[in-house]
Amino acid sequence: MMRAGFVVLLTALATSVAAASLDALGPDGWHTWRVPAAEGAPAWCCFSWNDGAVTSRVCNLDRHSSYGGCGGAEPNGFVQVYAKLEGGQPVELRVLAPGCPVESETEIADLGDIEADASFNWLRRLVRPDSRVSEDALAAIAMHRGDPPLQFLIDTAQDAEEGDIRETALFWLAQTGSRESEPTIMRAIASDPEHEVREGAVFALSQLPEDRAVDALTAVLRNRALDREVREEALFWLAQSESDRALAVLEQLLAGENDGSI
Amino acid sequence: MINKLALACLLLAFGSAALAQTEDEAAMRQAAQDRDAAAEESEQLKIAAVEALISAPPERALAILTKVLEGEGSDELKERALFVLSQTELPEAQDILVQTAMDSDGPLRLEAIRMIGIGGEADALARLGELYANGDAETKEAVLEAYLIADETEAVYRIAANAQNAEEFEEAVETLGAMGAVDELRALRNRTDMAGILIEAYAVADDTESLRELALNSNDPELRAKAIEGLGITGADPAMLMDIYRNTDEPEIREAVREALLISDSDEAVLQLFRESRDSAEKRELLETLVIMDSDAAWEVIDSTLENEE
Repeated sequence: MMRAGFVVLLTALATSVAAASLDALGPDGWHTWRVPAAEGAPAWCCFSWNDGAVTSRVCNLDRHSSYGGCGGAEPNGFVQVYAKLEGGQPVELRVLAPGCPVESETEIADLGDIEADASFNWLRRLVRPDSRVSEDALAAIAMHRGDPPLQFLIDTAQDAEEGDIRETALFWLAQTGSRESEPTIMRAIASDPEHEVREGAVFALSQLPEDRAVDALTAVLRNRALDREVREEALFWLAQSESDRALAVLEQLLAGENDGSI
Repeated sequence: MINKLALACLLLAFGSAALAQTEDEAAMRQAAQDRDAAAEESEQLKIAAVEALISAPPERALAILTKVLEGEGSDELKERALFVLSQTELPEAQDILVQTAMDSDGPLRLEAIRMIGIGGEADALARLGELYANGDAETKEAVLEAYLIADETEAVYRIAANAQNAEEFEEAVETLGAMGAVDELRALRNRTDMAGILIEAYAVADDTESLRELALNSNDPELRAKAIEGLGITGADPAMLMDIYRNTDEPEIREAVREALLISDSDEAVLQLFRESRDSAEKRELLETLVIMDSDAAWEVIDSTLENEE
């Protein structure tokens, strides 16, 4: 359905372009392509909050709409990447569900289906300190199917020069839910040189699936060799958890010798 | 047609004129700056001279200070004069303060009122009642401040007791709280419509007894909760707060107790309540309070438990 002044792209109707390349994306403006999604990747779309009620809405690419898992779209094994170029450089990135309705004031060039590796290789170059879309690129990479994107997140979490990038990579690594997440995040908690990254790593643990999060946070809390700040973060996130197991862990640790002195 | 030479001459002439104009402007600016600096230095000298009068014979100081107040000097100069008057042990000095408070307006009036408070002379303080009765909001506030400085609890109590509206009552009661005027505040307890305001003042005045009474016996749960939080501010015995917690099922009251224990940093009490609780939701609330408090007691227990496991 056309809206006055906008071009609405229903990406569900996009035609497949076999082996399309992202190396030369073409003129400035918005471009989009569909890639196979990692298992369990959420179906992101746009929403608005009003007095605690979440309402799905069309994603306006030009207006930085809030987007996330509240948008009501259904996962279908694919994600849709949107990239805006200015002066030949990516200045904005989104990754949404293919069925998420999108609008823009300018035309969106649809590249159809792109192989996950090709899309990942294009995105990975954007993860660098001087990039405006570093964090969005990491989010998008986390949604891509395959081992290379996952390994990239692990490597970036360990080796990126900038602490912010390491911290973001840790967060998205946890979001993938992969089993490789915990060892990498635990290593960061124990030995990342920056305090903020270590605390951010604890938060990343809290983002794992519930049981794994409780186990991992408990391990941090129980490890007296770790510095107090990260253990406090673990205590905080365990206390925030709605898991009965988390509560049981803390009850046991806080039981002490109850002499009823008060 | 103007030839090039003539044009160059014209440009040179205009350029020179422009340069001369720029130089004149700079000279004028410099002269103005010099005048300002001289005026500022003169002002500072006058202020220093006024302040030095504090050591002069009172009668001599009085004459000069009167002239300063009547003269064209700056407000800052006059305010300094008011301070010296407040320290001058002559009845005439207090009269001048009162007269200045009555006759002036704006900052000078307010400063005169404040100086009456600082001077603390009884007759001058007594005249503030008249100023309060006829004054605007700023004047009333200044009078209350003067009474606070002079510790005139009775005068503030009278204002509260005779307050024409809730705002006046609140300002006076807040002042009594700041003065620690427990007896006067208790005498206002019959103002049940103003109980919320009084509770806050009890907390500031450290009146644990009144707060406890309200926490246990008020029919209004909101006031009970407010009184309980006040007990946190006064640092009441955590055992009292724990008893209140144990003897109620009302969520708002329990929340108020948690808040009070948080305010008074009573982490051991929160930990004890956590251990006693058999309700998951409640345990989570208490746990959250412990975490917010960054409880040393909790960490001691956690680390002790871990040590015993090793």
